[in-house]
Amino acid sequence: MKIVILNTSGVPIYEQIKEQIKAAIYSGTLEENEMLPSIRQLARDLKISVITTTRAYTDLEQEGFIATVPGKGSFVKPVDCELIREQVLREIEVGFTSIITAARNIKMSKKELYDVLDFVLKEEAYE
Amino acid sequence: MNRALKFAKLDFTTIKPYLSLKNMLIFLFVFAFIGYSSGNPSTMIGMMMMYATLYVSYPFAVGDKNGIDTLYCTLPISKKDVVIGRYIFSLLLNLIVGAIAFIASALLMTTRGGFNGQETFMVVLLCVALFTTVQAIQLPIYFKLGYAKAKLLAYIPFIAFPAIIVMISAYLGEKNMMRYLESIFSQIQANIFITALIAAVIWGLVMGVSGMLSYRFYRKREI
Amino acid sequence: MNNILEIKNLNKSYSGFSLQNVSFSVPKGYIMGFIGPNGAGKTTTIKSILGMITPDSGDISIMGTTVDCYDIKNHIGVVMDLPFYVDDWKVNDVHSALSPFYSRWDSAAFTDYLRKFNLDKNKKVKELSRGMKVKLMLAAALSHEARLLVLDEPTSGLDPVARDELMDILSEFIMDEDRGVLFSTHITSDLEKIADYITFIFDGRIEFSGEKDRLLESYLLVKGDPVALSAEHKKSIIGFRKHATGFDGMITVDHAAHLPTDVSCEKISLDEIIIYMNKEGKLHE
Repeated sequence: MKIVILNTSGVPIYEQIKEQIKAAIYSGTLEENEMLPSIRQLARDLKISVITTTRAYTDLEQEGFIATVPGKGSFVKPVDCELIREQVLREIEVGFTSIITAARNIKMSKKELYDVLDFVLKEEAYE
Repeated sequence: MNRALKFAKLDFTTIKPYLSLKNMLIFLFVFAFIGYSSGNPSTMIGMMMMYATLYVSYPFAVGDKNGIDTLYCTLPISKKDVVIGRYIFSLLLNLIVGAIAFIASALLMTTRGGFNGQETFMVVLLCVALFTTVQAIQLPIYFKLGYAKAKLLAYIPFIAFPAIIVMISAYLGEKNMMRYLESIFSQIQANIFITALIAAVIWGLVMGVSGMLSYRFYRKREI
Repeated sequence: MNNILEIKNLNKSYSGFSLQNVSFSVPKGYIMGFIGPNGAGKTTTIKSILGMITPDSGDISIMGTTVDCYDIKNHIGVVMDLPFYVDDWKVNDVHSALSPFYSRWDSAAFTDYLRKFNLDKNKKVKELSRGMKVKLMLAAALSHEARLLVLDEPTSGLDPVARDELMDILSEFIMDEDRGVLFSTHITSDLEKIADYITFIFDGRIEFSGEKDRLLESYLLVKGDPVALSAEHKKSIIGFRKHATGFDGMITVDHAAHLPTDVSCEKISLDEIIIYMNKEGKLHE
C-alpha cells in the first residue's frame, strides 16, 4: 500500500491518509485482515506527527474500516458493502448539497443544473 | 562518596589534554635543573607545589571556556558531589606532585651525596600542607566567581603569605626573626607529635570551612 | 502518570525579563515543540528544568519525580546548540568522561551512533563541524536509556540535510511510547511536520500549549483591501499590517466567518503565527 501526502493540497494530512487507505480498501489493494503499518511507523515514514496518523486511524476505526488490537496493531476489517454504500451515499449527498448551494447563489435553473450533470457524466464516461 | 570520586576522575579527564607527555617532560627537566643548580631541593619542591596549585585551577579554567558546568547539570550528580569531587581531585593532585617531588629530591640528593629521607619527607609534607592551604582560600573564590572573574583574586593568597612574612620580619628585625624561628623549631622538635596533631587539626578545619563555603557559593551560582 | 514532564507555575525574575507562571506538560510518547521569538524565555525555562538556574517558585517534575532529585537525570538526554564538552577532548574521551555516571550507559549503542553519524573516535571536539558537534551530544544523549530528550536550539546553524537527519532520529526515538521529546527552536519549519504538540512562549508567558494541529487550525492568514474592513473587523485581526497594496494579518477561525467575502483567507504556518503574535503582543481567544 502506498500513501503519498501532498503538503500543498488544501486537504488536511489526516484526511489525505484516510482517503488513500479507503481507496486502497475499496479497490482491494488492501485486503481483509491485512495489517496496516503501526501509527508510529507510519508517522516516521511519512515524516509527520504521531497525532496526525492517530487521528486518521481513529477516524477509520470509527467509520468501520479498520480495527485496532492493543499491543498488536491495526488491520483491515472485512469490507461491509452495506456500510460502505451508506457512507458513500452520505458523501454524495453532501457533495450534491454544496453543488445546489452554489447553483442557487447564481440562480441557476433545475434544467441547467441537470445539463451540467449530463455534461460532466459524459466527460467522465460514467456508465 | 562514590559519585564524588567519579567526579574527581572526571576532573582528571578534563585536564588530561593538558598533561601531555611533552609538557610533563619539560616541567621535570626545568625543575631538575633548578634543583640541581641551586643544590637545595627545597626550592625545587616549592616550585613543583606551585605548579600543582596552578593545575588545581585548570578544571575551572577549562570549564569556564567550554561551558562544562552545563555538562555537570546534565549528569545525575548533585552540586555537593561536584564540590567534594573537586576537593578530592585537588588533594590527589597535590599528593601526586608531592610524591614526584620526593622522588625527584631523592634522586637529586643521592647524586649529590647525602639523602636524608626523613628531612625531605618533612619538607614535602610542609609544602603540601602550605600550598593546599593556599588552595583552600582559592577554591571558594573560583566556585563563587568562576575562573575568568576569579583569576586575579586567586593570586592574593600568593602575595599575601609572603607579604605577611616580610611584614613580620620587618617588624621584628632580622636577628629577632631568626631567633624567633629557631625557638619555634626547637619547640616543634621537642613536641613533634603534638605539633603535628594540632597542625593536622587546623588544616582539617581550614579544609572543612573552605569546602562549606565552596558548596554554599556553587549552589547559588547560576549557569 | 501520562506526562513525562510537568511544569507548574514556574516563575523567575531578572531585571528586564521574567518568566511568569509558566505551566505546561509534555505527554508521554509525543514530541513537543517549544517555540517563541528570541528572548521569549525558552532557554530560561529549559535551564530551570535542568537545574542550571534556580526558579523563584514553581514545580517541575519528570516522570513524576521532582527535578531536585538529581538521580532523575539518568533518564534525561540533553542536546544544546553549543557543545558542553572540553574542546580538546577526543570523541573517545567523551565516552570515558560520561559513562561512569550513568546507571544504564550503553557503550555498544554509543559506538553504534558514532558509526551511524560518521564521528571519528580520534577527532578532537573542536575539530568537528557544528553539525557533528550536535550529533555527538545526541549520541551521548541516546546512549544511557534516556526517556526524556531535551533539546535547546539544536538546529540553529545546521544545514537542511543535518536537520532532516535529526528529525528522523527524533521520530525513531519516539517509537517507544514511554519516551518524550521537548524541542525548543526558533526554526519552526522543523516542527511544522513532526511535532505533535506545541507550546508557544511569548515575553515570559505561555500563550498556547496544546496539539499542533489544533493551533494551526484555529488561525487563518488574512489579506486584502483594508477599505473593505469595518473598525470591528480590524479589531479582530491580530498583527494588522497595512501597506501600499493592501493589508495582512492573522485571525481566529471564528472571527473569520464575519469577514467580508472580498478578503482572502488561507492556511497559516507556525512561523506566521509567531510573527503576527509578536506584532500584536497578545493572543485573542
